[in-house]
Amino acid sequence: MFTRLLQALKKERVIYYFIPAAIVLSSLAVYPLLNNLWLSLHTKTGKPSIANYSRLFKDKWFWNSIAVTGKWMLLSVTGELLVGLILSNLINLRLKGTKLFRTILMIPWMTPMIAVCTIWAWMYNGDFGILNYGINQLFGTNILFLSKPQTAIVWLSVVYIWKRSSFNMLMYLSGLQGISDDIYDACKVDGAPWYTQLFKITLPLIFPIIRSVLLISIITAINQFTIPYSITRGGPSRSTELIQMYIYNTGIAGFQYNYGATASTVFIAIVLCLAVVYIFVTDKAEEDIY
Amino acid sequence: MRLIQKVMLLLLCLAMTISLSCQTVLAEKQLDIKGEIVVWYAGASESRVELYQWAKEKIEAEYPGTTVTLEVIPMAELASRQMTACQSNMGPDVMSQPIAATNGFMKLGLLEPVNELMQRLDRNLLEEFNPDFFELMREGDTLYGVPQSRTALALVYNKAMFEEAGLTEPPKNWNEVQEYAKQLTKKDNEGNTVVYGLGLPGTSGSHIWYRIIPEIWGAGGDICNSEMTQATLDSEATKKALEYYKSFYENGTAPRSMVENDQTATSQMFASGAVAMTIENVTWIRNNVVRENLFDVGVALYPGMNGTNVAGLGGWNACIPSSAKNKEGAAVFIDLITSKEGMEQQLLMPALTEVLEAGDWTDDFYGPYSKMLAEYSRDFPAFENAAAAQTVIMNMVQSILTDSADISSAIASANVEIQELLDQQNVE
Repeated sequence: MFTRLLQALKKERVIYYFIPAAIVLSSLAVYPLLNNLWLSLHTKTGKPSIANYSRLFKDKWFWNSIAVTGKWMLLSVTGELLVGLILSNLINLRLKGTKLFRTILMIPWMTPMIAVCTIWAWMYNGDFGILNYGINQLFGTNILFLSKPQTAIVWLSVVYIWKRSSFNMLMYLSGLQGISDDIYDACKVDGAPWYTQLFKITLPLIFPIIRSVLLISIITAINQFTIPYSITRGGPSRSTELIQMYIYNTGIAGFQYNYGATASTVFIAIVLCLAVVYIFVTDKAEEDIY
Repeated sequence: MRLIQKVMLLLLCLAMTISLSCQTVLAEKQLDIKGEIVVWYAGASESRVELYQWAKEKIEAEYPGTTVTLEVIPMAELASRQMTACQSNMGPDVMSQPIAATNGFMKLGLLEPVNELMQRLDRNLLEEFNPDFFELMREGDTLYGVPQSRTALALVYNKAMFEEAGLTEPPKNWNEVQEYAKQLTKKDNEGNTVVYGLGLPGTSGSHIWYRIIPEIWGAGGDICNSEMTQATLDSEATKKALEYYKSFYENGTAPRSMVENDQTATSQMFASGAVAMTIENVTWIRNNVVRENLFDVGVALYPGMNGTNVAGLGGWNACIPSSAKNKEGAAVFIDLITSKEGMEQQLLMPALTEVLEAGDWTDDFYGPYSKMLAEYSRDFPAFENAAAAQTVIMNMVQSILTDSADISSAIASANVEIQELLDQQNVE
């Protein structure tokens, strides 16, 4: 039996090529995940307990960060999607200079996030910000971008949309360039206006790309940390404290590793549920289209 | 044996005994520090970098076979890196840490007592330093760190703006600060404010903490009782302090961007001439205004409700983790950086009493800071989760500034959260 086992092992199998990746993934992803779960189910002293979970679910600031993250996700993902689609359709017009514009439009995506945050924070500043000065002078308004709890999250999402839309634009552009011109020629012959072409031809045909990019956008958006941390530190009045900031503030800055692990475990569960629902809903939508 | 020979023999034995005793004394004084001494610190301050480099070179010259490894950890992650390393028994030999962090490390048993080590180097810490500096790092007579620097905030102001407004002396209480702020605030022809009278931070937990808690103390209140079992934020004193803090934002004598600005941004506005007065520490003002010769800076005692406020102590401690591999080496390094020679290397402000009471530290610029440190300073309550406590206070202040909550409900809500933090640390 042992000899047979050895012989079976000596045969070349595809699965052997996955072993190095499995080892790396296990040590860098699976082990930390399991350790995280273990920490969340134990107190600081190592005693098994669900006290962290009961404390988390009673914490109003945890629910606040979930609500803020939900608002953030809706704003930034919608904004990214719309701006990315508009830009990709404009670039796809193939007018003179579109290659140059495409390169220029990639600059925000290539700029380091911390530099982006620093500059935007200065631009938004109520006293010496150029945006503040320009818009208020032009429109006679008195906007304080980052000082109002009700609207600070909106202005932060502008930064995020500015940074990320060009990446989405590239993805959608690759899909648009895969659509044959014959289809549009046929539409023109039939007299279909541009909006009919957009909603009946273009969007359905690039739906698989939109679906994938949207999922990446959602996950990236809800994992966002740098923008609120650098620009508003979660304020004013914790109105921009996203879930990742909450986890950082409690788990790392507050040295409450077990409690932070609990918050991140619950967050992972939420993200997984979101991903499953998303895939299910979009699967159905894709079937309906085709 | 002849008499002379006996006497010679006796003298020789005596000499050998004395020599051996000296050797023993020296051996007790000198610590065995061969090997590596690993030092973790935030290299944010130029003078600290120079000081540590000086100590490294001195030790490596005097103790052949010893290497000192200086590792700079970015300020933002210093405390968390040190905590993680110490809890994993992989800490350095010397940790330079903000004083707010030391108490937490001590309570978790992560620090080595320094009494015996420093005594072997002929140091008497309680005599050489202000004993109050050890409040948060001692348990009875056991000390867990050595003060490296201490700071206390003071009022800084633009002397030229004061002269222009006809103000001859700095303000000494709340009423005067409010009055001065109005006089110093200037608008242009279109009604836009070009100079604000007073700059205060509206974001960053620690920056607000250092400026609102002294106001609460000055008004006769506190964040909790001395045993740290009961939150006492919900008081008339807190209400008055918050009304005072908000008044500048409301009447336009503090920057309209106050809610977005931490103290660094506020101080930058002070340095650029957009703010006439602010509450700032000696290091920032010296490095960014005085050394750059921007303008003449006046320094005054921190004005409180009815007189000088007691400011919260800031600064740095030098500590030895209990997991340190070279504790003797760590002690020698700390001895050097906290010696008179080390302290004289422009550390702001030197914690050693002998240096603080001498020369430069009593002039017009440093004098008020020294006086604040010597007579008007105390430690903040030692919250185990200091970051969370500071966030509670920041949130309370921001709620009031943005009118998200009225003062009473903001205070009541913050009081509940502070009580929760106290309950958690008392249970543990």
